[in-house]
Amino acid sequence: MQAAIPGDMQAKKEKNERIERAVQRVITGEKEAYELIIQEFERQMYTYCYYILKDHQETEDAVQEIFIRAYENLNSYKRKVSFSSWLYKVAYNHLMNMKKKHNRWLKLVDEYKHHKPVVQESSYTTVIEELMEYLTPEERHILLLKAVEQYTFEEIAIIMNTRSATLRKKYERLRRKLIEQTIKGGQLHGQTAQPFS
Amino acid sequence: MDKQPNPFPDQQLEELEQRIRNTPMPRNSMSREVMNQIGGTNMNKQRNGSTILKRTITAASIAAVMGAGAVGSGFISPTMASALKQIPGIGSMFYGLNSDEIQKAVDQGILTQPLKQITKDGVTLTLTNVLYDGTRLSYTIERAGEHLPQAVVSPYIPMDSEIISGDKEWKKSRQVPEQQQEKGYVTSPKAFINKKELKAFSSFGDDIGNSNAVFVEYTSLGSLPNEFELTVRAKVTRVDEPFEFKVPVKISDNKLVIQPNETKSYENFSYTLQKIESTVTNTRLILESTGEVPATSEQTGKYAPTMMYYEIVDDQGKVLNQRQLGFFHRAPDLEYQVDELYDAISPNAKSVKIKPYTFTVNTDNWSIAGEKLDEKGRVLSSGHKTYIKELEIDVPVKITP
Repeated sequence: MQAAIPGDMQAKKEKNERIERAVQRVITGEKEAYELIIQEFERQMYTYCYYILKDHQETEDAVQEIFIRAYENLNSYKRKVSFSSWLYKVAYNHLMNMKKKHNRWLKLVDEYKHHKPVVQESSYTTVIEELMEYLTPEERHILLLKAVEQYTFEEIAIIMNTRSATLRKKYERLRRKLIEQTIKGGQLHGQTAQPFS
Repeated sequence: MDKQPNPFPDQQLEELEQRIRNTPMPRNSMSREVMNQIGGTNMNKQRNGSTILKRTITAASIAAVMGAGAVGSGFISPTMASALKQIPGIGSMFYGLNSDEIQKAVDQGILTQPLKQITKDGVTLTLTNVLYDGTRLSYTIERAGEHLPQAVVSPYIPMDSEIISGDKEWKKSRQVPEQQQEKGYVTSPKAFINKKELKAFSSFGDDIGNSNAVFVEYTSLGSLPNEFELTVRAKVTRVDEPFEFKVPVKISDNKLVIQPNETKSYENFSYTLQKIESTVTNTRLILESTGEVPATSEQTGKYAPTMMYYEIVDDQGKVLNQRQLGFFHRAPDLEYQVDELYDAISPNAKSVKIKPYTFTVNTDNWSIAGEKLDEKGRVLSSGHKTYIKELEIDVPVKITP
């Protein structure tokens, strides 16, 4: 819908500087400034985690743990990369380390409750989730990181600890897959996003 | 858009990415919950005994495992008891208790199922799973009705609240005057104890066991009586009148309070053990300390002792886990008021021992000597502890049968 325009680059630069300032405030002891950082990133972080985990409760837990982990390791943040990509690297690692949700607790609840809770998806997310089904887990991360924060391939490479050339190829592949699907399937619902479904 | 093959597939991909980017977050900001988990002052690392997952599943999970309906009249088998203990959150609440003791805790009124229902304007709310054990209060509100939004928790931010930063589009979509809000979301409820508003740290969010419910939990309650009337007032968007539930809450007078008022000193440090409160589910330690923390020969140069921590061991050999262990990136203060929660004392214990200790900290980076984390960053070992035997205190306790 819109290609990257020069105004976007400027806005992105200003946002990064604002974030760096907030980060410095936190590092020098102003704990409350971290709340600004959470509010700045949480919606996109939620989106990223949700399309990977596909469960709202797990996503909520993951997002909170990511912010806590990032805070605890804030002293190890060096300005070689943008804070944003550093934060998403924490997120990516956290998501990669999460075990699948076949844990004891759920099994127990199922046993005693005799039925699984019915989770209804909102129509807003279903279209996206359906298309994501055609991608490998790795491709999902690539697509999501590009979508939520509009990272460059260099930035995504840092987050996913891989080479940007490899990433470019993988992105091309996923792009072809998705285009194939949308052509096959008729069309992608093209209305502009509504805030609530 | 019309149903026609799009000649510009790249555009569709851009649209998909934009659509992803515009996905709404189906709840209000998590910043308070995160900030409270972080806690402390000056960038400390707080190793919480429970993760967020544990905190949000206690009451709902108990009801899920035990089944809905009046609890306390049912029998808890040993299998159920051990199953209960596996569940994080509940497990820590019933830790160290066998099934008879868990039954006793339930009989003591810790969990009540009022199942009270109120309908207004096509929306029905039900209050369930009221859990109170003397230190924590929580409950669940279920919502039912036709043509209600899928999410239960209100996504709206009050018009007069100020949110610094965050993208404006998102903020605009959340700060909506009531007339324009969607009907049927549950907003953060208020609780009253004997008609007086309860002001305590609370968390409010989706109920993990029930996609049609919200879960509310209050900690840091101060001192509440064993018997009171709980009023829960919940507001639903676009429904004029609030939903008000009244539930009598009563737990047995089983809190054991010991006031040793004993002081121990060593070198320049001294502390006075003021109070130990013991219930079936936890132990509370209250003391005051003054003076400089004693240092061993290893705690010199760039290494230093941390503030004084207190371990509790009962005469059955059980080490009571401290619920929260806070670390600070600075030298200890000279005075402390300690008020900490630990696991419950073993039921047949006749005494406990208070064992003060310090960790050793590297003052270059405030890391704790001996701290071990697993690959997920979870604590395997808090660090190497230096106990100070001269400061130990033995306290006789008597648990009511």
